Amino acid sequence: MFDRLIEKFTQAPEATRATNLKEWADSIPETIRIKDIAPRCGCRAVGVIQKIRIDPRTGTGSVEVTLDDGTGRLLARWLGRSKLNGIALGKGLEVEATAGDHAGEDLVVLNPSYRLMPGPDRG
Amino acid sequence: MSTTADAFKRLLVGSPKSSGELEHTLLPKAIALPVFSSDPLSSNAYATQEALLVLALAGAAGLNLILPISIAVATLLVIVVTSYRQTVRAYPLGGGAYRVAHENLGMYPGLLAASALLIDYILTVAVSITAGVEAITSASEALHEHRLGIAFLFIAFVTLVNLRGVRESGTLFAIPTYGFVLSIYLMIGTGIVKCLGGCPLAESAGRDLPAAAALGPLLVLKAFAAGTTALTGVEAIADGVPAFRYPQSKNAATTLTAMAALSISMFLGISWLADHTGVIYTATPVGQRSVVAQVALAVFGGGPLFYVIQIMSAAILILAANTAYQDFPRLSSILAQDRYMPRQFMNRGDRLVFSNGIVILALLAAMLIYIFDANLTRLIQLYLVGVFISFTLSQTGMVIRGRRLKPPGWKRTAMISGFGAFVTGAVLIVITYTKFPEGAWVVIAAIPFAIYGMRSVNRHYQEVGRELRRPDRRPTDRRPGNQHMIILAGEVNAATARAVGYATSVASSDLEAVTFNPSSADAWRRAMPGIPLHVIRPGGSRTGSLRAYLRAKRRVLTPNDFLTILVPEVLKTRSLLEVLKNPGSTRLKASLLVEPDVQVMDLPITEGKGDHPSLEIQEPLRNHVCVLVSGVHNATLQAMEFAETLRPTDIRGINFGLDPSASERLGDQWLEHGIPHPLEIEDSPFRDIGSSLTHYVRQFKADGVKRVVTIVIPEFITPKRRHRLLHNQTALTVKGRMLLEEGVVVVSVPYHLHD
Repeated sequence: MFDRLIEKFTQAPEATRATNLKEWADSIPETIRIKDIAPRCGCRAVGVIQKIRIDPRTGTGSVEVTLDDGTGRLLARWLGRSKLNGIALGKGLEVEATAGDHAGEDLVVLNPSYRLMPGPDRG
Repeated sequence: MSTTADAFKRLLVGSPKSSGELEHTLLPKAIALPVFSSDPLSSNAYATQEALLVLALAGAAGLNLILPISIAVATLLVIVVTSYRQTVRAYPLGGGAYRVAHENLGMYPGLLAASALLIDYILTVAVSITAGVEAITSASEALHEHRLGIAFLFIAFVTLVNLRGVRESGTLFAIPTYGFVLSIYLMIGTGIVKCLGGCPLAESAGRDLPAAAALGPLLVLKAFAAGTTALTGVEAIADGVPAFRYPQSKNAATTLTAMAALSISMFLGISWLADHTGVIYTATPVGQRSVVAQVALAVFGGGPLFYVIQIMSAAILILAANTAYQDFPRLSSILAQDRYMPRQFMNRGDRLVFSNGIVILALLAAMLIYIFDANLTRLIQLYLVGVFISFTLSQTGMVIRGRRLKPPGWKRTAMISGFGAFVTGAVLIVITYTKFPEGAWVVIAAIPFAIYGMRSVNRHYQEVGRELRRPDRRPTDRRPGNQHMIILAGEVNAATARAVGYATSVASSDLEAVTFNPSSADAWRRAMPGIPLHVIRPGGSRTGSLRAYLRAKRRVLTPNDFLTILVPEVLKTRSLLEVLKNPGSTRLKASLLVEPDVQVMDLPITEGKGDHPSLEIQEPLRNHVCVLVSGVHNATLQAMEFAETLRPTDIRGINFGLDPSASERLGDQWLEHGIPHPLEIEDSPFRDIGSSLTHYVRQFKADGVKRVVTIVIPEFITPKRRHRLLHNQTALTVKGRMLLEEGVVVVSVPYHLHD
């Protein structure tokens, strides 16, 4: 218990948040952590919505949602649409698709099927 | 922020909590009770005394009335609590009397309740801290002259603990509150047992007490009004419902009942004992013990338990301030949400508390203590008026609500509330009448000012809202005009070279430079032969001449064109101090900002950093433009248009979603307005836009030469100077942080609001 206390006081707030997010993600069955996803493999991941990017330009229209599960970030991109109902920061989102490659730092999945869920109550 | 300052702050208030942890800061009933009850419970330490003080004027005969009067006060407490139980159910979002009055009686009664409450919370802190300090200084004469210092120390302590978080302060302060309750119960219990075999007498019992006034109805009424001090703090729970754990209303109502039960039993117990031990308390002599102390002395006959009561009373008096620390910031945030107070009061700080409200409360209370020289007798006169204004308004509001909505059983509760409103209204009149000359007038005089202030803040925000959405001032479909750039050249240095490079990439055709310094003109013409230089000879002030020049320039442009002045700056080190060291430039920029239709662009470089200190002019190859978006309105649309004229690599709007629920709506509005650029909404889990933006721009890896990031900040410029505090606070922090980022150009696009 004392160890936990020390850890709590010395941990950077971002690290605390990551721990909380991972704990939450672990509690959702049949999902894989983002850092464990291998490129070009089918996966079902879950994360809290960290960033939303809407691009209304015709032709390139897309919605991108960045998910964070405490282990890494996953970029889910839906092409050809500029709106995704029910998407809001801090909510939880489960996505299922074949993982693409890394775009910069984040892993990308294209047009995944998705399911909204309540976000974590911590983090 | 530097890491040392960061570490120090973390040490003081703890490390930041993410927004998602909000639910974990909610209070369980066992902690909410002491948090919200320390104020109402502490009033038991002096309520009986206040009533006895009035009764003593009528001599020994008057003292016999203490028990009936206490029972009447307790009954009123039951009535008020019953009414407030309805309130917490009906208004789970908190705000208590303000919400009830605002919704049922109208705006002005609402604001009256709000200002009465706010003033009262400030007084609660001032009075309780002063009372605590008095308890300490009365023990030692030497400390008396330091009472102001001690009071400020206490305020600082309570403020700091509250900045650490609701839960943290609640847990810490629960111990003395429960300790006070237990010790008083122990005293009452022991007292009753001892009384079975004949009551012990207080030290003042049997003192000669000449009647100074007749025992008439007015005196009884006054004594009753004095005893109603026991009711102070009851409104605290109704204001703070959102601090409770779910189900919030139910938990708040239960806590309210528990608080009432504790308060009534303690109050009646103390009054009963005071009556039976024959305590006499008069205005003179000065050195007499308080009523609770006298009772404790009689019951325990000195000894350690007597001192426990003393210490606990002092502790609870100081802690009563803590209740106000819960409610003042929360009420301010509710008022800010309703646009009656500056938006800054809505922001939650590092630890998810409304830090701005906490700090303002501390400052105002400290100021009050300073003005009144920590004199309790003078301060306490200001007290109570506000409480009873809010009681009366709240209960009247509940009657109206009952009549309007007719919930089941409304007739009974409306009757209780109505009767309560009548009695508290009567008490209000008595208090105002008796205390007005002694200081209550200060409060009554202050309330109209507070109402006027909130009303004007609201009117201003509404006007701004209308202005920002007026379709005829919406710049959509307006073809973006051309960009005209003027470089403010001082010496010829690396920063000016970069500014020229940047400006050339944007507006190579319409580019010029101005300088105040004729001696650098030759150097400039040699280094930048292609760019015309205009030397401004200050007729008056530099700023004035520059503004006149810009205005003349503006007149020949079409309204669709943008006129941008570039301010290159060389910073010696990467610290905010460096920016502050050059106040002249900051002042100049600030004054240019209010010039209509002129954009101010900042191009800072850090000396020694960066590998291109040369004067070589290089157009940036990539220019990523990020427009800070707080909402989709005219100012944002204008900033987007401005961004389009910069010939950028790409344009995007970015928003750091401080209110996650608003993120979906923001996206919808973006699409509705047909803005042809991407919008990124990013969570800032620690509510620190400066850090989030810094992190964001660093991903571009801008070097300032080949690759730059331009941050476009839409700003509102209000015609009245005093209104400017209400806006652009975020812009200010962002600008400070971004000045220090390598390769970042910051430009303010002012949107001028008309009257």
